[in-house]
Amino acid sequence: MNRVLNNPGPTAPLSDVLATAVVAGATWRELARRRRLLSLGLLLMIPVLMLLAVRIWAPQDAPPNVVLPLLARYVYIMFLLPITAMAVGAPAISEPIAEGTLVYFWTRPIRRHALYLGRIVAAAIVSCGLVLLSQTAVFMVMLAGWPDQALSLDLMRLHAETTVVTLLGTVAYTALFGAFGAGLKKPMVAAILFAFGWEATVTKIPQRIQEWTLQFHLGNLVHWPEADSRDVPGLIENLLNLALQREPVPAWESVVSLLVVSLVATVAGVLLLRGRQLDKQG
Amino acid sequence: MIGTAPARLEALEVGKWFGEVVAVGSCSLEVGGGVVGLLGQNGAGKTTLFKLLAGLITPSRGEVRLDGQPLRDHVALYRRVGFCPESDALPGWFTGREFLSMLIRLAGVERARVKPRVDELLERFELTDAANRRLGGYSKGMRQKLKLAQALAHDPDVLFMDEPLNGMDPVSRHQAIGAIRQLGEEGRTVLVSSHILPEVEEMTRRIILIHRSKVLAEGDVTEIRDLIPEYPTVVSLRCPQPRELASFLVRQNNVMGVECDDGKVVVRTEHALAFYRDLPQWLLDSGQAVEEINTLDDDLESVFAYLTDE
Repeated sequence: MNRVLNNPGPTAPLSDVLATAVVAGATWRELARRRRLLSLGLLLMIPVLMLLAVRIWAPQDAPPNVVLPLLARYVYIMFLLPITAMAVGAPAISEPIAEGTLVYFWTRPIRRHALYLGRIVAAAIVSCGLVLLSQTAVFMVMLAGWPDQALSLDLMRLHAETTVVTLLGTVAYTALFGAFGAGLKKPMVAAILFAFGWEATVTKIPQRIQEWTLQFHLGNLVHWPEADSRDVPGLIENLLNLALQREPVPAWESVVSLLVVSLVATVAGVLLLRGRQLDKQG
Repeated sequence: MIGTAPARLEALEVGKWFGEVVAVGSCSLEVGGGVVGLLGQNGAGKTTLFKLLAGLITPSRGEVRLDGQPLRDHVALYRRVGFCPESDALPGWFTGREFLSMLIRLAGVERARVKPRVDELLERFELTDAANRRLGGYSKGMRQKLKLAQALAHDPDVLFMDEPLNGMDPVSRHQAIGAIRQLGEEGRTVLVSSHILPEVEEMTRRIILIHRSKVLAEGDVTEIRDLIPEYPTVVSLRCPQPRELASFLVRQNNVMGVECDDGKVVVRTEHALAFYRDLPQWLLDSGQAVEEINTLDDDLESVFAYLTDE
C-alpha cells in the first residue's frame, strides 16, 4: 500500500542546546524581517543626528568626550534602550502566545525552556545589533567631525566602554521585557510603565533607592569626564548630583546587578512560559 | 515511525474547567489505530478536549496517556504526535519552506534529511509554488494545507486534527479526506474533529459525539446518520462567479433554494448527505471553482436534540 508520505528516516530529540540554536536561528530571521525594525533603526539614528548637530553648531564647546557620555546617559539609556527592548524583546515572546502559534513549538519534542531561550537570545541579538549599528554610526560621525580626537586612545576607549554599557543595558531590558511577554497579557503597557514610570521616577529619588533601577546602574557604568563646573555640562552634572544625592557605586556592583537582572528575568520568563496553557482558542 | 502495534491513546476521566466554566466535563475514551471522528457543534468543547488529549493544557482532573505514559510534559513522546490546530494563525514572517524546515528539524529529523522532507511535503500538499512566500500572504486553503503538512512532517503515529477541512476548496477537501482515511489505514491513531457529519462520515465510521462539554455517545456513524437526512441544511460556497454557479445549482435535485450574497452562493438543501456527495460532480459539470465551503446551520443540532431528548 502506498503511504501518504515516505518515512523521513530516524528521528531523535535534539539536545537542549541544539533546540535552542534552531529556535534562535529561525526567530532571528523572523524578527529581522519585521517592518518595525526599520522604524527602530531610524529612531536609533537620533544620537547620530544630535552628534551631527553638535559638530555643525558647537564643535568647540562640546567635544566628543563630553557629548558621548551625555548621549549614552540621556539618550541611549533613558530612551533608546528601553524602546528597542520593548519593540523586539516583549513581542518575541508575547506574540506567539497571543497569536496561538506557540502550539507548533509545543507539539515538538523540545523542552519549553529551549523555546524561550531560543527566542529571547534571538531578540537580544537583534536588539544588540541595532544598538551596535547606531553606536558604530556615532563613531563614524566622530571620526569625520573630530578626526584628531576620535583616533585618540582615550576617546576610543570611552566609545568602546559606552558601547559595552549600552549593549549590557540592551540585554538586561530585553530579558526583562521578554519575561513581561511570557507572563503578562499586555506586556507593552507594563514595559512602558516600567521604563518611563518606575525607572524615570525612582532614579530621581535621593539616596540608595535609585539602585533599584537599571538606569542607575547603566548610568553608573558610563565613564563620566571629570566634572568641571566652569563648563555647562559639568555644572549641570554637579547640580544634579547635589540635588539627587547620586552616589556612584563600584562598577562591578552595577555589572553584577545588570547580569543578575538579566538572569533572573530569563529564569522567570522560562517558568512563566512553562506554566502557560494554550487555553485561548478553545 | 509507525510501530507494529498502533499507538493507544487513553483519556481517564479527563475534565477541564476555567473558574466556574466547565470546558470539558468528565471524559473517558480509548482509541488505538484508525481514524476516529470527534463530532460536536461549535463551542461544544472539541478544541479544549483536543488540547487536553494532546497535552497542551493541564486537565483539572484525570489524565491522558499515550501507550501507558502521561503525555503532558513528556517531551520524548511528542516525537510520535502530530497536531493540526483549528486556528488559522501561522507565524506570518516565515516562508512556507522555512516554517516546515524549522519544525521538521525540531522534531528531531536528521539535518541532511530536512530539505528532501520539506520538498516532499510541499509537493504532496501542492504548495511548491508558494514555498518561498511569506505565510502572511497565504490564503485560508493554503494555510490549512500547511497546517496538515506540518502535522505529518515527522511521520507521527498519533495525529490530532482539529477541523482540518475548514476553508478548503472541494478538490483539496476530497484529497485531504482521502489522505486522512489512508493515514488510518496505515495504522496511525488519527483523531479528527468536525461539526459536519458528512465530512466525518467520508473519513471513518467510528465517531465520538461531544455535546455541551460532555461525551454524549460513541459508536458507528450510520446510527447517527439515519437521524439526519430529514433535516435541512444551509451551505455557503465562496466562488469567483457566484451568479453563474447559483443558476447552475438551482436546477439540481435536492437543492431547495439558492441565493447570492457578497461573493457567496448560499444553498438550502433538504438532503445534506446527498448534497455533499453530489457537489464535486456538480462543480465539475458547471466548470465553476469554489474557494471555500461552510455550513451555515448545524445539521448536528437536531441529532443532539434527539439524543438528549430536548
